[in-house]
Amino acid sequence: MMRYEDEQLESMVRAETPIPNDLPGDARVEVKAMGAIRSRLSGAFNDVHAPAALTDRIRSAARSAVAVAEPPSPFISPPVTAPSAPVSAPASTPIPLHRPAARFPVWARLGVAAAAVLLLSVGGPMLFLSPETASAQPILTDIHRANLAQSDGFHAMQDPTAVCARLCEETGITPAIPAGAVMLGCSARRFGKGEKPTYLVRIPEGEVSIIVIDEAPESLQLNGRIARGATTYHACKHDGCRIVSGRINNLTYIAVSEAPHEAMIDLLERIRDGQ
Amino acid sequence: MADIKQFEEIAVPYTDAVYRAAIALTGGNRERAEDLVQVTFLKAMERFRSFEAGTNIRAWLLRILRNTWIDELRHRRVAGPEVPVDEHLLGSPEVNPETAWSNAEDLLDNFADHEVIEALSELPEDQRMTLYLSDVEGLSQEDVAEVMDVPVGTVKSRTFRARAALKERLEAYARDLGFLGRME
Repeated sequence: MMRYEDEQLESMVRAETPIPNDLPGDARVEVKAMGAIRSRLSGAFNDVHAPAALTDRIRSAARSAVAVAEPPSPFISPPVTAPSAPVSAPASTPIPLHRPAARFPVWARLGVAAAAVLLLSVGGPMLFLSPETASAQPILTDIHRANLAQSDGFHAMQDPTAVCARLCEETGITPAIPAGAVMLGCSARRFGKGEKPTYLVRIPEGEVSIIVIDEAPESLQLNGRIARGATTYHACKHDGCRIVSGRINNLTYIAVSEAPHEAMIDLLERIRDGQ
Repeated sequence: MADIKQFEEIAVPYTDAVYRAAIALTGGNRERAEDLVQVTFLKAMERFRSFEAGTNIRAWLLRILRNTWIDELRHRRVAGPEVPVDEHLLGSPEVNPETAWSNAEDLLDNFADHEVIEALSELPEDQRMTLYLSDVEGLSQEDVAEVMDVPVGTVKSRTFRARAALKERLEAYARDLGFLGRME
């Protein structure tokens, strides 16, 4: 009896070659089952589509890049230096007549420059900018300062379990607590339309308020983005505080502190990992 | 060399395809998939000048996605499901495969889409992506080979083994869910 290799069987599954008469019964069933799985797998993704908001973000990022590459004002002088020519190009090669600013290398350089500016402001690799203005930032920094001052209903508590129970009782939300952080206490604070759970923890870089809300991070209109692996955190600086937010288990966790953004992202990742 | 307007015209329409692949890689985690797609497109924009007009833009984007995902796994030091396929197969001999799969379409109709995607996500990284590109995206084996950076022959055998591994997982699910009785 002829033995068939995986590659040959795969060709049969893909109907690139006919199923031979001498194919054993079990292999015949296998090939047919594989064909059915192939169809079912394809069908499983029929209803998977990118959210419109994601496509819009990508599209607007591309447009923003064009806008960055093409100065809108005629009063902005074009670059004095010509784009660098290939090493092999003759010295007399004329500079192209099309606007070099619309080409990728220039955009790339401008993009890097823009990213560098944002790196300074948010402390990490920037991805997509939100065009909206910031509005939640003063409230978040006020909450953090009230927590630091242990004022207005702040409960000084060191037991994370007791903190969770207290916040659940006061707000209906049981927040996750990062492992390894020193708990200082908690409070329910007014944010948006209701009371939200907040707690204060100490990490080596400083004291951090964690505020938990239902709304998506986008609603906070923090204008920076920090990529950590494939996860993007929303971030900004306001009034001497740094703010980072990320979505964890259907809730948005906001860290507010004078600590570096990266330290607060570490904290958020510990919360995420503890879920 | 191409400009960014071209990028918007020819690459952005493939957001759906890249997102679907990200869903496959992340095991249906939509939030993570969105992040992965954003990073992929950002990298694609940066590298667009290296894209050769007339070649397969979808395969090019999916290759960037795959490399981004691998970087992400390295960063997190999460290796993904690493149980060797053969080892996994050793544990499930109770069902007579010929009988269980004699009416494969009926058996597969029992599964919800998300269950199929979840089963796919349990495959080892290379198998998962190869099978996805081949069976869902319908890329040619040559394009799959280019995305995965392996010879075409490897794509063929890997696709077959990946589908066999998926079959075993679906079979195990079917047993757990009661679609498939244990054979004496």
